[in-house]
Amino acid sequence: MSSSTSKLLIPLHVQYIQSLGESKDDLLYHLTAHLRMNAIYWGLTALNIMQHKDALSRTEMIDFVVSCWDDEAGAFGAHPDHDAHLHATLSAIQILIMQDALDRVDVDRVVKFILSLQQPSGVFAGDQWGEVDTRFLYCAVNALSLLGRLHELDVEKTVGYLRQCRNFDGGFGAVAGAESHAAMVFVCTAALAILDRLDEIDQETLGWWLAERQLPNGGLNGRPEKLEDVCYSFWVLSSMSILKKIRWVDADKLIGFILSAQETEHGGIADRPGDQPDVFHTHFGVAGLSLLGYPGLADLDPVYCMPAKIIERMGLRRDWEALPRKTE
Amino acid sequence: MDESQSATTPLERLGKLLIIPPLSIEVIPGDGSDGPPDWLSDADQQAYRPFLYVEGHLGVPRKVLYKAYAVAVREYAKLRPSPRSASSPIDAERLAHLSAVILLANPAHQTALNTRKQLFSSGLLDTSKELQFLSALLVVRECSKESLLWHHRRWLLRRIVTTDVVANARCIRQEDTLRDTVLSTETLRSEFAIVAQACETYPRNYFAWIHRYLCLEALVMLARSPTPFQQAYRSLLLEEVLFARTWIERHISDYTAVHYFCNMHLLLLRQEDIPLPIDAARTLDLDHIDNLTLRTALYAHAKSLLASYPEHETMWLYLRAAIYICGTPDVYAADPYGAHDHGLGAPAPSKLLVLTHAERHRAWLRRAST
Repeated sequence: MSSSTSKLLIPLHVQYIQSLGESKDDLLYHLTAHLRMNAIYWGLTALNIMQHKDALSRTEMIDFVVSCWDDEAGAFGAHPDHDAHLHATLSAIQILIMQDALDRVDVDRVVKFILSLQQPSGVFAGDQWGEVDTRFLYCAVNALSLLGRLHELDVEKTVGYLRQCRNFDGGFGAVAGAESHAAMVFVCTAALAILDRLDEIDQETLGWWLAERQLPNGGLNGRPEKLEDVCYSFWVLSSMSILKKIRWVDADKLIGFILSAQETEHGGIADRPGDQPDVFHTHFGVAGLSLLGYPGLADLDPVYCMPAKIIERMGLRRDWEALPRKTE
Repeated sequence: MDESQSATTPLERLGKLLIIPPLSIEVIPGDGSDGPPDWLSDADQQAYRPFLYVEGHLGVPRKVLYKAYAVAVREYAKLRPSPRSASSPIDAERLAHLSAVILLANPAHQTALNTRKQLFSSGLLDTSKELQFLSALLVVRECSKESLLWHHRRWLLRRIVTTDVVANARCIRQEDTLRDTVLSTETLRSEFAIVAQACETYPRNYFAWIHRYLCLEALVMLARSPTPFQQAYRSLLLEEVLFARTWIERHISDYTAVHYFCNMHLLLLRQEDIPLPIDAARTLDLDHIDNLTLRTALYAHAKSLLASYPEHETMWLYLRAAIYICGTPDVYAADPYGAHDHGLGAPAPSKLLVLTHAERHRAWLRRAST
């Protein structure tokens, strides 16, 4: 490993995130409009963890979030004139909380939107058109919790669906019957953590499945016999952190893998070494490093995937365990 | 000359070609400036430039597609009606073209797909054409793994079977499942074929296999229902058992297929009545079909594949899954495979890998029995 990737290049990654909004004429910018709100949340969270939370303009960001309000639906879309969706709505709430501007949200309307999306089986749709997925269930539970309205949720019904998604290997899929996948394991585990129902998980078996995601090169994959990818540093690690089994992963090897995926000229982190970086992998790489105790980073709450300090202040901290922060 | 040839801009031409719809779509490298090959030199083909359109198969140069996309999103933003459900027929046609181009370049563009649902609900799009358009899209690599498109397929399938307006309105609130949808064997066979293609295009295709599973759930229910078509459904179900088993044999790193096959067994074994046709035992090389023979056959299949491919983690996981489905305590009590011995016999480069898998399997057995 070259010396240039033996540490986290924080100033470079901050610059990378700052540069993302600049090329508005780029094809890539237009091809990613449908997830702009999510991208801003990824960027802002990464900046917070890297202790540069003011690197982007607060007022511009808040104005953008507000401009994505879909008044027909009573929720947020990913971009102005994009339809409301649960995922974009969660990201909007998370951004506004991190920017201390939650007063800009019509909470009653958003709660109504979220609750209207629960299906008879207990799963949530992402919007009125009905695609269901445990990812949307997590978005709903997380958002309601952040808005202080979790008590309005039918918890038994929600947990009932999660139970149906549990596979024999201890993992969870996107819908009942789907293969275990680390991203879905995260959303189901975190949702159950918020609902105080971790008893629904066979924690030993799931911990085992999660530990088996680590490959000889130190990276983590999302399913058996798939390639390693930096984003699983978050999905897998946060689940293990919630199950208090983070020590079942070889931390040094994983840190080495994440650092080797950095782009050393213009910044950002890619899915694996040599590939193009993007804000998604930058965020999840930094998030993983924070959970692994990498020095110089702020603590990340693995349940909400937000700065731990903010979640603690809101009284929402659950019983999870990250590795202790190393000193430089 | 047909409509798509007389349209003036590449965006207009592409939009009209996409809503025919084509039988297949391929995004090809380049910008189409070198024109169609000589063997396609008739006037019709020249008029489709820069696109290729031969016997229903559409070729779209990548650079042209992205340029068209950039224009399409701007025009789409201007044209979207407010409220969303109100479109004049002229605007509706244009929205259909624009949203088709947008989705080909960016299959995750949810809002464009929502527009198509709105057009459909207003009676301005045709079910079978929309299903064909989706079939063509789902073979394009970047599109084939997009969960939105698979959901859109099921959304349409639920509407094929309910042409009456009242039932249709109820459908909109209906959950994303095919369990209570009466699909014909031809429709199910067609869905299975599209999923198989998408999984060849993009291995371990997560949402394609989910779609297959949801179709399978519907099929198993129909095979258990006493209708005039019960035997036809049972025959199709047997075909599907063979398909899944063969797929695993040909894709030995495909744990998604293993998961599917095991879940298939859980569906078949859920009730006493195993909904397979009378000749199933002969086809599956079994004395007779019952709970025990099916589970035993699953375990034997897993064990034999593991013996052939012990370097593959998937094969070890297949055995674990089979052990779970067979599920008696004594199965856990011993290493049923003798994996360690096999490891010793493996060729040198993979010996360490095989032994690692074997050790892990033993540890898993010990953990499972405590």
